[in-house]
Amino acid sequence: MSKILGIDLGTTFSAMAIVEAGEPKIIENKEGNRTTPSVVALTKKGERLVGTLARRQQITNSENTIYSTKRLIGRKYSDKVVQDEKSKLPYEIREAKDGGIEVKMGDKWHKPVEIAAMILQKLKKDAEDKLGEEIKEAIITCPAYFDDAQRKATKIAGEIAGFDVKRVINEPTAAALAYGLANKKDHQIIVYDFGGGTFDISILDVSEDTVEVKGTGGDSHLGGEDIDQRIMGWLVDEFKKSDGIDLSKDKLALQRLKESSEKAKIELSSAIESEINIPFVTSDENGPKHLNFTLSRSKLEDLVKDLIDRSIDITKKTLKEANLKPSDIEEIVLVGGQTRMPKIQEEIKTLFGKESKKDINPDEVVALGAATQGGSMSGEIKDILLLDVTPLTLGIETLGGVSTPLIEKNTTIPATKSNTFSTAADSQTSVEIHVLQGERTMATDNKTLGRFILDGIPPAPRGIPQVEVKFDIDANGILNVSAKDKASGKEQSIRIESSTGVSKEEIEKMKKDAEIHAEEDKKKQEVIEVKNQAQSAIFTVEKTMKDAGDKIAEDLKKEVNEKKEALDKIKDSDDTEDIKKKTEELMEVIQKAGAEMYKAQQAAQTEGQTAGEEKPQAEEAEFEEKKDEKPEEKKEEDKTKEK
Amino acid sequence: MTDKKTKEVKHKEKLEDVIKQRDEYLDGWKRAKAEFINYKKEEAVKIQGIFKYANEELIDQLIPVIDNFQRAEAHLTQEQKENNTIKGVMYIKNQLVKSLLENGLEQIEVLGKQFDPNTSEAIEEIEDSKEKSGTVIEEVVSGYQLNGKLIRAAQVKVAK
Repeated sequence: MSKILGIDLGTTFSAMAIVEAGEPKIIENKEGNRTTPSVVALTKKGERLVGTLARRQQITNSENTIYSTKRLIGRKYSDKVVQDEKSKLPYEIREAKDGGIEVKMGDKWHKPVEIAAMILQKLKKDAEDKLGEEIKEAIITCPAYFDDAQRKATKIAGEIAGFDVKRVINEPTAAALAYGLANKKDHQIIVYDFGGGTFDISILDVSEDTVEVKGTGGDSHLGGEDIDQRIMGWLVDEFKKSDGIDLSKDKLALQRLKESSEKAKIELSSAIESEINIPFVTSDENGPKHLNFTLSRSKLEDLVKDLIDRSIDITKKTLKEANLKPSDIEEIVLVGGQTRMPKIQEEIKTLFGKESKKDINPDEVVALGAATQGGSMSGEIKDILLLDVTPLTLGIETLGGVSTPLIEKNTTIPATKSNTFSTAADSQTSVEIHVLQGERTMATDNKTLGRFILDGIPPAPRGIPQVEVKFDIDANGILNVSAKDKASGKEQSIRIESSTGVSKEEIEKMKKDAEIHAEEDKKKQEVIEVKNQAQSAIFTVEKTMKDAGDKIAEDLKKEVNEKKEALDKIKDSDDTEDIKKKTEELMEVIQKAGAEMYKAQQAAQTEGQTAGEEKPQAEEAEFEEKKDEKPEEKKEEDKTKEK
Repeated sequence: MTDKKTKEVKHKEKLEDVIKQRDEYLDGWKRAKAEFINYKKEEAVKIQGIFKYANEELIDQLIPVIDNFQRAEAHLTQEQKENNTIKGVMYIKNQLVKSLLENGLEQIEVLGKQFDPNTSEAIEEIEDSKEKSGTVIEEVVSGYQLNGKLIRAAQVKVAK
């Protein structure tokens, strides 16, 4: 099964990905980077450089360093776009005999398709080196607005590079594929692609077996770099005000300003303000000068408001042209690093009234989508092997009404998890397994999926029996819960259909509820823990006292009883601090008594066994993780609890 | 008679189909298991790599600090160089550089050599009658490698 490489051939950067172990993964290039600059150069010595190396020598060799060929590929020389670009490009271009374009690199004239092929060739070699196998096939992406000639040229570029190009797919479609949106029926998807240099909007119509482009729009000269420029401009202005020097004339200073601007922009996506610190940015007759300003997120948003507004206007226009309203759009996919900006995400949310898909790295999502397509085609991603996840946590109710998880949410299924629990009361002969679904801490706040009882447990002190509870979900989402008493071998089980068949809205709601109540749930759990420990301490003490009989001195016995009474009185109150304190005091005093007993025993030289506490077993930990290991007790009801 | 035979043939075909499917599934299962085992092995190698380059990100962020120290040093007048307080600050800079060197950081020598995009980024081309074309005549910021891997390319001015 040969693998198909997915390639995002971008204007300024390219990326590649492949499906490994069922999942698309970005492949790093030889230099160890996840993206490769789409730049090719021929050095004066006649050496061909591609990628970062080509970029590094660009300034010394600008006539022979070719970049942005994507703006030229598949076009005619007479195209307005080409004529516009021509004046900006430091390298020579001319009309080819067939009306196409040729670019000069060194002494030779190349078609843009050949330059693109050089980039693809480097990607191919780097991928083969990384993966240790030959890569013969590829899927290459292109903008949705590319016409036939441009698509054909993209395909030919791949072929020149040595690939069998299985398909040239649209970038927005690839992004939708990466999010698994192409399986949905009758979905309208909008892909908002705000990259480094270009802005593209695409409206897709997804049906059973096709993805159709309903409309495209954009601005080929609107991107993240324009935002960097605005910050740079602001820094230059501020510095003029503070130090009276115009940094825009200073190439070296500008370079540092550019780097710092980009860094600040990125920081402001998560922080509210960013300090821009450039020591020794320049100097004059009075000595060195330093640049040190703080840029706030709101100021940045101010500086670029018109740019963001432009992107939203283009979005609205494209919708209108496709005869659609924002409410007609089911999903929004974000592509391009610039979409990490909170303001942009906010504007999009306001326009469409819903959250966009942004979990996948927006710089890599197109390459990952292309790889996904390749994976489906090469059979790496077989439909029958498409695995689901269980969307919500599954567990059972334990001592105190707590919901104890057995299978965490987002676990890939089929899956099996089991855990050992025990009884809450002495001589408890049956336990109730209450199966729950949800993220809340308390059983009552989660959804009941089912209940059953396992009886016939041989009578034993509480905490002794070992009941193994097993959760098994098969690939269809059917949950089988079984409980087995290890001693008697008695087993009972229940089968629950569609534990994964919860609606998307329900899932979101349950998750949100859990978040909102997280603090309060945590507190509740803590209170229960404290109360359980108090109860446990009381039972332990009672047992110890009973077993010890006369071995404990009278005055110690009195002290123990006093402390026990004190705790018993308040253990059901809400004063957790007091309960904790009295529990500690009780444990202290009973341990003192215990120590006395040991001393007495040693002195009397009787043999071994004290009827002390059983050693803690398996799951004790869960409920009382960090505390001491005394088994717990609940009231006399038939409730399962942890050991 | 013929009826029974067709039934037999049908069953034979069905059995062949099922055997084929079973073989496919078993093969797929084995591959998945093998992929998982290989993935674990790769992760182990990756983790080793992470330990080796764990410091890379931190050192990466400290390099601009050294850059600025170097800029500061370049601006010192002779008088300032002799100022004791400034001397002290420069000793601190040496201390910082030393710590980084001890962690595998190495400065790359580029000045006076032919420009090499493998280690340097050209930020300006300057007319220079004395130097051969393509020679690095000024190192604006130094280039560094960490444990043999390029971590930051030098920024240089090159003779035209």
